[in-house]
Amino acid sequence: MLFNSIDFAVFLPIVFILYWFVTNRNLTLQNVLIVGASYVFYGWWDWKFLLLIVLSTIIDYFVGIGLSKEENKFKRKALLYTSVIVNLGFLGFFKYYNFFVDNFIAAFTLFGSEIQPNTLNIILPVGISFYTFQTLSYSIDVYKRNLEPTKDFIAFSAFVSFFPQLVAGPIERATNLLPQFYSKRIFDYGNSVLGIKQIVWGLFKKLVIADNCAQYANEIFSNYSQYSSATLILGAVYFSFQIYGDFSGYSDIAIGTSRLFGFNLMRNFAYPYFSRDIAEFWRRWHISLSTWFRDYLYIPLGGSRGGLKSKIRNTIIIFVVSGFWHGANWTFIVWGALNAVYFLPLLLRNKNRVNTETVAPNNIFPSLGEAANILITYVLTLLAWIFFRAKDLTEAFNYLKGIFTFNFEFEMLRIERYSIEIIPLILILLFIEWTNRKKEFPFASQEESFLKVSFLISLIILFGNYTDIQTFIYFQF
Amino acid sequence: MMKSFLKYICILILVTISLLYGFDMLYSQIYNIGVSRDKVSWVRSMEGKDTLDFVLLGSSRCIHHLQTTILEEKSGQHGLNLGYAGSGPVEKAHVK
Repeated sequence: MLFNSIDFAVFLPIVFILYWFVTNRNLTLQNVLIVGASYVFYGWWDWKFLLLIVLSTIIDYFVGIGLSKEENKFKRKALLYTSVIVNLGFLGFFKYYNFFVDNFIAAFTLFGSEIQPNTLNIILPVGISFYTFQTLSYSIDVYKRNLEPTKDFIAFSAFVSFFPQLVAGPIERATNLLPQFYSKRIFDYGNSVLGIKQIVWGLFKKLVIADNCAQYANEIFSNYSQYSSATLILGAVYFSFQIYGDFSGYSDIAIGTSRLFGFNLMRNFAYPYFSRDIAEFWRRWHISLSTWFRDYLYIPLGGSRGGLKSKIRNTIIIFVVSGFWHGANWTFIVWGALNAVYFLPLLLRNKNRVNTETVAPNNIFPSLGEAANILITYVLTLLAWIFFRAKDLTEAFNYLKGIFTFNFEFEMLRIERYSIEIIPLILILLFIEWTNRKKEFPFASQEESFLKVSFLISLIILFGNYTDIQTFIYFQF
Repeated sequence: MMKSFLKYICILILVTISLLYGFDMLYSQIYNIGVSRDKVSWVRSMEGKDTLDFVLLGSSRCIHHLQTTILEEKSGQHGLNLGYAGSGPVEKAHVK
């Protein structure tokens, strides 16, 4: 079920009413409702893939119980590996099987051997990368004794399948989300109103920014060989706002929806395009994934401790793995590696923690230096997004080559639109974000008047893209 | 608490509807007095518009399949064919 669909517009009020008016006196019943609603929400795509979630839930639940009882180191490790193998096994099979087979065959062909391809027609279950990482974090935390394992199977099932963040995050930590299922939820007016505002803000980013940008970005990337440098640059800009609006919009709707049910999820985006260096960008972009990799991969590998070599190695590993997490394609690996190349000079000069506060907190405009740094960081991410969006590496390099032909002509696209038409909407987004950059999200205060929120809803109704509904990009990851 | 929340939702919907209604009035006003920017507003602003009985709008089908001269002969009314290849239904929404 998509957040931007009529189905969800009907589903959400029904679940909300049942949650607060029917099951509100019994915590277990409320959790059962969440599990049921989450399974309906997920099964709306394909009920068969529910089996994966159920299986992952059962295995990790019993692994947790086992870890709490077991003191033998070897047996504890065996239990942890069971969880890791099952979860990464699902992920590996559904997401990466064909990629590895294809590359294996290509490698053998390169050395003169012929192998018959044995790829499978595998459909990627929606959101598999998100819920497998979430359940993995539970097993690892219990193994490390950072978390008491739960004995409440319903609460654990609700934690794994919680519908607002099931298919595209934020990837929650068991330490934050799981305890919220144990305690009685009391309806909070302020938090619910914030939830509505955050949902509206998320819908604005998705329907007005991302889906409109998508039309232009898709057209330009699909026919890049026919367009001028200026249009190709705009194509990359549109994609950068498409992916930002799409993914951060989803996160806002997810966090806002959770607030309606009395839950607080972690923040996933913090105005990443106002970052002054690439390290700051990665502290502000997809925070739940970056911190997941930091805690469960980077630090266990040794982090920034150790010598220069291990620092460089760990950084490259985390960025490449993070790229590969996004998809089984060399384009994502190069995207990750490119970000590592951007990041390493900062790390090696110990400058990766220079910009940790909000930019120009007490001024209307940034200083010239800050503005230049923001622009440079944005251009670096823009170049990397070309790899992220391209179908393959050849397309990415040809697209870049097209940009460097220096033909600055703004032209009409084949979709009968001028290539610059969407820019005013992007400027509205940037203006709203810039003027509210100290807040968690632009309407995150009780004082916001009805008029501002209604104005935003009006923009969604008037400028939202409803003719060509785009699914959320991150569903495929 | 819940009552206040439901009240908030109701007010939000009412304010939004009022705002949209205001936007619509503003847009209609600008559209009616502004410079012509599409076929309908062009017809509305043209001299001698009162002599027109009908205007044909539509895509290439409209251009090629509807002959104004034949229609005028048969109906005794005066009109224009403003069909345009690929033209969609949006402009028809302006016709009242």
